[in-house]
Amino acid sequence: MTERRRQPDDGTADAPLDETAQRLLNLLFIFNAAERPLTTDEIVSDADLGYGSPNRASDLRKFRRDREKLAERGVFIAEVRATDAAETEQSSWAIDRARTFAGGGIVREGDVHLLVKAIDAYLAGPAHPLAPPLNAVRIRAREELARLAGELPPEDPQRVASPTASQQNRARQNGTADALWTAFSLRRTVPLTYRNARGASSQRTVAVYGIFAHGATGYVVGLDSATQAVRTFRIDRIERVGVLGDSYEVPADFDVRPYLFLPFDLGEGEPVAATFSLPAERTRAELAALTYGRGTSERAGDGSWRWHITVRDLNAAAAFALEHARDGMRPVAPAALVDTWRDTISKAVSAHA
Amino acid sequence: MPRPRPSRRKSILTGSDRRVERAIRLLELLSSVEGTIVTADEARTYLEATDAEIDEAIALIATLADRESGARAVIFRDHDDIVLAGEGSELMPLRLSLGEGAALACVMGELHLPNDVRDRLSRALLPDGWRPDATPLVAGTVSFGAWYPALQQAIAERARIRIAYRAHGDTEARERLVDPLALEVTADAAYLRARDVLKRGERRYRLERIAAVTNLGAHTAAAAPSDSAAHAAVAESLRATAPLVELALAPGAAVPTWDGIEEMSPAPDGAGETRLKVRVAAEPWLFDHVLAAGGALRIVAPAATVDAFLTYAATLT
Repeated sequence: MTERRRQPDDGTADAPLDETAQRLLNLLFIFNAAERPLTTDEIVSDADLGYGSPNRASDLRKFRRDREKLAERGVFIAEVRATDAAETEQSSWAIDRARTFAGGGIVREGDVHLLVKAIDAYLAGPAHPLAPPLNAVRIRAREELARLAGELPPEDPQRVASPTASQQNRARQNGTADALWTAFSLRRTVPLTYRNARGASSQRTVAVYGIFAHGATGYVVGLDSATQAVRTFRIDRIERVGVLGDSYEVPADFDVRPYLFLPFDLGEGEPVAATFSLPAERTRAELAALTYGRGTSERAGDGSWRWHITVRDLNAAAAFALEHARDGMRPVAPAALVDTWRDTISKAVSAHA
Repeated sequence: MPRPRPSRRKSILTGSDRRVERAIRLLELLSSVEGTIVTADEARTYLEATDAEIDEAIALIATLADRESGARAVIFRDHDDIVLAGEGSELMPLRLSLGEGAALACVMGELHLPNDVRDRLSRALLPDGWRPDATPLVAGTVSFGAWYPALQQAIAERARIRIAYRAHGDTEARERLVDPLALEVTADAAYLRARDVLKRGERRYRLERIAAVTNLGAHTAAAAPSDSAAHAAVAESLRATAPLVELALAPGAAVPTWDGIEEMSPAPDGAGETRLKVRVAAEPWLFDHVLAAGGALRIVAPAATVDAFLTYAATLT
């Protein structure tokens, strides 16, 4: 049996082995190697495994906590009970292989190449908020290629050498982003210190429902303990994250896309129903790129588009329409928006008098 | 709105969690390659770990044994290689976490990967119980249009393609014969960088404006330059073809972050304005930004650009 002393978290090579990590890994190892389910007694009486103390109840609790810990790492150990088993029989346990392990023999080499290229394309811009999970997926995909080809595929030299790669590396090392992705993955609430746009700092606990990238900036959307409402938080304004807390479930109908905000969403004014027009030749894909899929769009009688969306800031809505004026975007309603749009043009023209 | 469901105990990510994670990842990596051997450099890269952390993972794995079956993990360093041996020590790849799965679903959807590919990747990798019709929990604002797979294939094959593309100001898409070079993504948009065969020049095409792609199959000699070379080429092209426009920015106004800004300095008259010198490839783009600024941004020179702006503004109202 190896030395069992607590190890500091900085992890030095010659430090004594971490007994908790060793026990968890050994549990995974014996279940992975086992050819039959293992009984509770076989586990909790095994001193080599890190159990077998005089206090059986304590070992049972430790085994339950270890199963939970392994589940957090994606390894699910499930109770196995034959359909005709008597109630008094003690439990047996085995890895839930379908739930734990990736499906072998399903994907093709071309699928994985396409996936790696797709992730590279998605992350090709400035340091990307989705880099932490997507880099992990990319690594899994390359390991899948290794399984198919027998060796690790050579890395794209441009990816290794480019400034983008180093930017992504910095993004990966962002502890706040990593903690938020972990909380989201484990579906555990996360306490955070948040500084809003006005510089005010507050403490709140958030159940993260979704995460989105708006350009190069990342945002989390979640149930906020401070307001008991679903709110959006800019990741780079989160000053500190705390210890993960309670478990939660993301509502089945939650969709992060309506939270992709447009400039006119951010005002303090009352929401106003607005309509913009766009020329008939714009495709649905162009419309989706412009609107982030927000609001509703329809064809008018002459074939041109009408986009209906709620706005909170008429000045920002008028500026948004003007930024896309060359695409034929025009405000249609309400009259106050059209007046604001005209007034904005007048001011721009007057500045050149 | 459902509220968080309290659990009986708290959970934190500890040093042990990270050690277990690294050891599992190392076992997965070693199990993925023939001969279960990787270089230490590969391990460091794949695990994003230091040498000490890799050694720590090796030390942990080396203790794994099952008395009943006799299975035990044998792992050691052989010079710069890491070797895994021993019966029962190989580990099949684990499924993705919920966060990784949501991010993967986002990429597959936003880049319009073919349905059969999405189905296979989903069945193989996504967490158990993931519903294919689940609403997105992860999203981005950059549009990749509907033709990413076809464009990626053409780039990989160095195939010439015909695209239907609608530029700003065009009322309908026009066909272009291009040799695709690479895909580029900025904070706002995704582009195809390609050589226009008839115009004999490099161009960028916004992906959502591409209405159709036809792979002509003919292999081209065009090869994508490196990112830095491409940026240098774009900058050089801008200098050669795009006129320099001087702008005045009102005090307190948000400073633009456009690529083509060459100079920025306080206005000489001391009025608190900021002067910008910008290379402008397309005047309507500049005019829209000046209009949207509502007087906070003013074109100073050349005079012909000011006149063109006033004419453009008059067409809107």
